Amino acid sequence: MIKNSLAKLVEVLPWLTANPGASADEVAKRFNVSKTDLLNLLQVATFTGPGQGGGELVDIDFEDEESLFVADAKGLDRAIRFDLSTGLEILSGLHYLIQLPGVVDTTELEQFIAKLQKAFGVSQIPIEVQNSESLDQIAKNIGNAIANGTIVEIEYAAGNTGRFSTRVIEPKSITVSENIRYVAAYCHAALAERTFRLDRIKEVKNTDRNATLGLRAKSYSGIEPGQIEVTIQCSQTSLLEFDPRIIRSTKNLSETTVEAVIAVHELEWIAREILASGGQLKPIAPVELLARIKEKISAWQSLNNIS
Amino acid sequence: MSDSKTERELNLLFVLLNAKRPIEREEIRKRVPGYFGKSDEAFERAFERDKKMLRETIGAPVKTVQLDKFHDDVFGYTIDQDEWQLPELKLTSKERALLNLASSAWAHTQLGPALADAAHRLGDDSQIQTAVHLDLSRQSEHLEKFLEAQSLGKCVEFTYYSKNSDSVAERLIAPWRIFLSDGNSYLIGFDQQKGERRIFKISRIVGQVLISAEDTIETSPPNLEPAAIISSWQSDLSNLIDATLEINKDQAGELRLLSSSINSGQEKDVVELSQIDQLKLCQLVAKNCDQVKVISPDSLRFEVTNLLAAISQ
Repeated sequence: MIKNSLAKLVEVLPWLTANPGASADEVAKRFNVSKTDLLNLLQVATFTGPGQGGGELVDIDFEDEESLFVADAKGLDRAIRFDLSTGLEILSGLHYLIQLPGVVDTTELEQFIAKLQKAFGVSQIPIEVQNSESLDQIAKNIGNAIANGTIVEIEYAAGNTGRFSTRVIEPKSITVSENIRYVAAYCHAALAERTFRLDRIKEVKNTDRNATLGLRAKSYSGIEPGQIEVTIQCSQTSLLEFDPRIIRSTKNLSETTVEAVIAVHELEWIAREILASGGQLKPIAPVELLARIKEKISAWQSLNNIS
Repeated sequence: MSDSKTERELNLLFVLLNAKRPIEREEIRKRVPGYFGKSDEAFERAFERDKKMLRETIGAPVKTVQLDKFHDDVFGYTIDQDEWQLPELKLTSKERALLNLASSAWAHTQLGPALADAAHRLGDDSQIQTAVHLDLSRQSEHLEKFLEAQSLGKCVEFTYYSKNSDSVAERLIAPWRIFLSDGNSYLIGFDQQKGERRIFKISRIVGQVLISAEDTIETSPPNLEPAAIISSWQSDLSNLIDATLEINKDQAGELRLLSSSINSGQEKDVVELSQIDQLKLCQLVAKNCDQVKVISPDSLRFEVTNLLAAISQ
């Protein structure tokens, strides 16, 4: 028994009108009702209409349950409007995808958004996207490789070490996490799946070779805490720059200063962050971290003739 | 709910939806079979209940119109189809795929239900595209609140970390526009306390965004140009410089990404950088300090040395 038959009919009739020939099983599943309830509901609809003198009733052909047709829904053939807030959310959610050339055809998407915007009566979408042309080109090349199932060579700057190298990869999917685009791919050097940030790729060279490994794409789920614990001192506000998922514990040293234990994958990564911080982050432990930073500063002094 | 009640409500809906002009009660009573044979009192009760049902359950805007300007007790009833329903929207298969993609990408986020609803009503969400994986689950932080506040004409309240002053403060902002640019998202809005336009990097919002009870006193100007505003804001904060660096082979990838040219040597490359923000460049050189020799300008070498010295102070 359907709890609110009228509301269900108002949903089902426009959809059936737009999707002629759908089977009763498919419609029932889609609208989360039993097939019997659906057929009863449609039976009720056929007894109704603006006039009862015949010829003005809702006209549904369901002699054959495998293909339902609504010949005349008597005005219930159009979907109900969304409220303003929902309409803005739909348009904004679609508009967000404009930052993903290589994944979507952005011209087509813009035309579709304009069509919905007109239908929804929304004059302005409160989101604007500006992409860098070079990054878009990289995304397009990666997107083409995914669509064509081909191997590409990328020049890549690793984030943890800064090492710059050429990698041969089989791109599987593009993912966005916290506004940063990534490509999940099988890496021929690592012989495993790896995730690469698109903004760390300098160049994509297409090869004509087909991807053969066909591994299942894995989405990038963002930063995960590592196994190495390091202790740093910093201001409360500097700590905001770290992803909260890698902060193990904090201890307030004063109103503004805090000592934090951070779980990292590699000492090299945090050492480089500390070097770039200009004293905002102070290394406390382990001693290997302090030694590494000291070594790097000595190398700078030697390379740049600083006494 | 009985079939006869559904049938009666549905008949009332059809009668009102298809009427070319507002219809009087007595005519409705004649045209909706469920009202036949009811006493005046029972008809009035059922009619009022059914109107309420149409308004509250399916959101149909049942309007009451005074029909006779000389008699204020003669009313007609109607439903404005265009106000209630979307215009006819025939989506192409590509448009349906885009809607499905957006719906799957935003699943498990605050925007998820709206996109799923759109895919359900307008598209064909039984065939969600899976060839491309998009997970925007961490994208929507605060976005829904900005959109909701804007549609209600209300402000948002949040705590913001200002990097310039290295401090946090409470803000009361009328949200105007979200701007996404290469990995960064910004909110452009009107600061109700300071009485002027302000720009916020969304990643620097601390904690939750709340919808304020305060109405927006300044709405977004129609000719707002977010790209120009952000660009001018960024250039106010930056000092662009050129630099020449000698970098060990295959090292300091971040600097190579920004390079305008690379002159390859046997063990070292000479990397030219043009019009790069000085602070950003100092930080990147410091980050890769064991791999980089600054050839020019001297000021860059000096700044990086100071930056590194600050670690042990």
